Amino acid sequence: MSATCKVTIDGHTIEVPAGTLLTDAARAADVHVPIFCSHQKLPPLGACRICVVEVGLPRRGPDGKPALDSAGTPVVTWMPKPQTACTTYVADGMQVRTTSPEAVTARKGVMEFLLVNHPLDCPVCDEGGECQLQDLAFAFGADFSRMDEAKRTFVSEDLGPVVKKEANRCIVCMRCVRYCDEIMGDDALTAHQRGVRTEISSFDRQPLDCEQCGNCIEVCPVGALTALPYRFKARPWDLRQHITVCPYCANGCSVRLGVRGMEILRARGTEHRGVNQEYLCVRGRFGYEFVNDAERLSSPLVRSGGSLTPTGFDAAVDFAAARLREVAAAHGPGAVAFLGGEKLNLEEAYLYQKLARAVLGTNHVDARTRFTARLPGEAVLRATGGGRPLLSLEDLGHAEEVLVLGDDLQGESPFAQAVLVRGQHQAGLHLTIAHPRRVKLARPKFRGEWLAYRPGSEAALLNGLVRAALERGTPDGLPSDVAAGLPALRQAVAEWTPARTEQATGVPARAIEAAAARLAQARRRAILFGRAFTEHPAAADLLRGIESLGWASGALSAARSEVMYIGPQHDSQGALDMGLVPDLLPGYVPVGDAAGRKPFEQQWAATLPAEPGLSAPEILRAAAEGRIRALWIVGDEWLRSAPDRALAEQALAACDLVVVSELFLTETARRAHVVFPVCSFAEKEGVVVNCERRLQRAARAIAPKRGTRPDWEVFQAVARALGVRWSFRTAEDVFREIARLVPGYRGRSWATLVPLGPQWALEAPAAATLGAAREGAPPAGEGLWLLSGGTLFLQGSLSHRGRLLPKLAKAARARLHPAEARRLGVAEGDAVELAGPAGTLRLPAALDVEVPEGSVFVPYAHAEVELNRLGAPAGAGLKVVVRPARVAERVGA
Amino acid sequence: MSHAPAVTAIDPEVRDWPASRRVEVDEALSHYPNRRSAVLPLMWIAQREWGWLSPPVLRLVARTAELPEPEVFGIATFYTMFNLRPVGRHHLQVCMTISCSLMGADRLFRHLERKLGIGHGETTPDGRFTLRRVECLAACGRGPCMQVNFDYHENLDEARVDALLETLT
Repeated sequence: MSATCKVTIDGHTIEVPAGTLLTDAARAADVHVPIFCSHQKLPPLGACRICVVEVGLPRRGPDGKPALDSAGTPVVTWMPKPQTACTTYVADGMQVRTTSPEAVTARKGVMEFLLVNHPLDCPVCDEGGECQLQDLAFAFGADFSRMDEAKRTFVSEDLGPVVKKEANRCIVCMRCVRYCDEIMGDDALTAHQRGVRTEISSFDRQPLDCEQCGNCIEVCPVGALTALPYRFKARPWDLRQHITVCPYCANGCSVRLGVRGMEILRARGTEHRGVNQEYLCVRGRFGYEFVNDAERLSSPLVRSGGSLTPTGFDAAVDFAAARLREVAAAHGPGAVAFLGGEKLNLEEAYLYQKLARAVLGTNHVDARTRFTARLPGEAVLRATGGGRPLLSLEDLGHAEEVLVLGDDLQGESPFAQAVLVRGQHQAGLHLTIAHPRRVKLARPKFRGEWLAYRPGSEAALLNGLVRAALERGTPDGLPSDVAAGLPALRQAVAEWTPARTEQATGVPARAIEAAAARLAQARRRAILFGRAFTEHPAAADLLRGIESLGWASGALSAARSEVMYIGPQHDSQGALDMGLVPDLLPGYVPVGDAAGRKPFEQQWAATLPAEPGLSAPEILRAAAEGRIRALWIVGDEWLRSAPDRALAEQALAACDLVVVSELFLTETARRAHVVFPVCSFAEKEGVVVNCERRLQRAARAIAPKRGTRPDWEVFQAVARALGVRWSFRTAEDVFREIARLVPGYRGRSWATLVPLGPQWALEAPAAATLGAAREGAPPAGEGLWLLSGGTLFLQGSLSHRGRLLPKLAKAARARLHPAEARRLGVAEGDAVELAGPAGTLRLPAALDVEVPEGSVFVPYAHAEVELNRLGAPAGAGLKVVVRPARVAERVGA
Repeated sequence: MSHAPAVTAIDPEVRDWPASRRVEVDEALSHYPNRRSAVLPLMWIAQREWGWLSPPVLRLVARTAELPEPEVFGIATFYTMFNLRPVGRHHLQVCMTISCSLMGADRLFRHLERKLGIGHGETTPDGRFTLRRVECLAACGRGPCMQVNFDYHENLDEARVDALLETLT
């Protein structure tokens, strides 16, 4: 069979790859074939029949060659009945008619059947105006009905707080059921009854037990499933639609905001654009509420006489600049530090560090405020292949083996999880989930293996995997520095036999060997890691371990990288790239590298400090001890994110100047001397970089809320007040400077980033650093290991502002294994007290067999959970004493 | 349509198969290469044990067959012979399809309604009878036909039905 087929559709002949479906071939030929049940991410089904077309194949003679008529043209044998284009694969020489009388009559007949029971209640249907059934009824339907029987009717249902179901409108295309199963892995929806009585619903019509993503609503081609939060809010033609990038996780999904006036009324997927197309998770779809919040700051605030007073922008800028100048003059530039910035756009991140380095002369810049230990800025770059071309999120789904290290993708990276679930259903993807807790992807319904390592044994696990992978031989395609370093690596991990690794981690030796073998043998593979490892006290060691595993298993090679870092915020990668770390300039140029510094010094007309600055946890300590006197904190509720709450309180109290750029008067902002109100993601434009290192231009959907400015304007105003001549008129101007100066970004322009930008790579990848990971010392003291992780419904303080997300998240619970709870004398719902080295936290308990014994799991994203009050983790983690709250009270009294 | 009163008490906490059904359950599972294929036999065993398939029972079937709960619920509703509501001791199923209908099934059904004081899908307050119209029972040569639990009664008329009901205590 040839690799391509020539197909003629309505007279247009095109060549498409063999194995293409007729619906896709028609789209390529620019011929419209209507569809309902067919979906780009689901296998062919042929449920609705609306895509019927006439199909013919060339007749072949006895010699196997196409038979020719007297005029010398091939004779076509037409199939006796119309065929569904969505289930028919192309064949060479295939002829297709979509507008012949037979095709049109057949389609009209299908339409008539689809409308037999449809209520045609378009005026009160939220789908009206963007309904495929409405459009196709207009295009293909008859203008009268021959039916005079009563329509079958169903009762409308709320399937939980997100999904409204009007089954009368349903055409039983099964998209929602299949999407929920094959992409979300939730199986929450099903078809009840059969035939004309078929109705989509949940188990026993209960509220949906699922991720509440609303993708069933998104893929519903009619108004059978609509979004309760958007119900009767608007008509689609009254909305301006703007496609921008979701401000939550690092996947960087495109999101289509529906805006009326100044208000965002809904968020949807984008059908055929972005990394995600139609997909959005619950945060992406319903997490925009904070933008409209009435409590948004609308005026700069300056502290005078002990309280924050609204003031003009220029006055606030002058105040901040004067104080910064005073602190720098009195204590040196090293007394000023800049924190936060993972939620800034690329251009803003660039200007933020430029303000720190070029204007104030300090390298105390760090976006990674949650980190508990210093992590070299290059560690993540090296662990992901030193800047070599990186696999994409789409590639993840085609991998044969995917290893997820320590992250619960459901909370940290929902779209990547959906890609993996789809890969399980539609390709041969096998999962290895290394996580102490049985997270969603580690459940038995997914094909894979769960490496349930003991908390604190991350280094041992990595070393064991590296050794087992090296036992399989030396991977091909290694760059020379790695090949030269392999013998030393072999030596360094020699002691980590599977048996020893089992002893240290609790993961069976067999499972470690098998996981390493699968990784090494797979033709396409991926290793994913995120904050569970980067925010670990031993992060520097663990990242070297991940890098070693990448090279040992073949996931890294001279040509490409299959190791992906999933940062905690939507622009974590951009912040790293732009040098919001204490030891690197933008583009991973070490601050100590005089030659690398030179272009920046020329462009910025400044002498840059050559000493690496303090990292975020070091800044925290230095500020609390009075060595740092001025702090700028941008887009970060530092009192929640800093690893030690008590230290952060001390630091804020001790500083002579605290500047906060924020949307809301957060707890941290309340302690500031100057607060700048800034724009939300929807109100500004700029580039963001997702976990694939893909550059995407985020568009402005609404005008800035009164009194707010994009962050970069604030940085520029303060820089100018400090005497430098920055003159950027737009964020694009800033990007032009980045494109002139920054390795990996050179030569790029905004125009090339739409609709989907490229994934950047470095021309000269960073050198590798191989080695075994050292084991962190077990934390001192008695008690249970504190495990934490993201939750699907909340991420950061902005998500606390809405109504829906906190409602879906419910109250936080301290989750304990039932056996552990029994030992502690705790029942479901009992209040428990967690006592760490620095403080306590009180929460209701929940019994959960997915949490390992000897540990307690507390999600960190809930507003009421402030884990940093317990004290900072050290060594390999943190232990807390858990006891029933009533006992704690008695003891306390 | 009114809801039939719950006549079969079912433990809402039902969590596992009773010991007496274990052999049957294992037997059903042993017939197939994977557990999910046993879902229909498992539902029959459950219906024999509890009389109807309550949500907790369907959850048990889902756990046993390793299927998603909603899917099992969908399967149970797809077929007509699984009871999704409690039924009486004697489940009267009157065939209404064409042969039986021509032979007087409608008259027979109305007679049963009057006599028992219940309609289609309803159960007598004493929990003795549930009455239901059904489609073809494949006894077309001997209509009208009524299935009582798993027994066929054919060539029925009012007098024969009355006599039959006397025997069903």
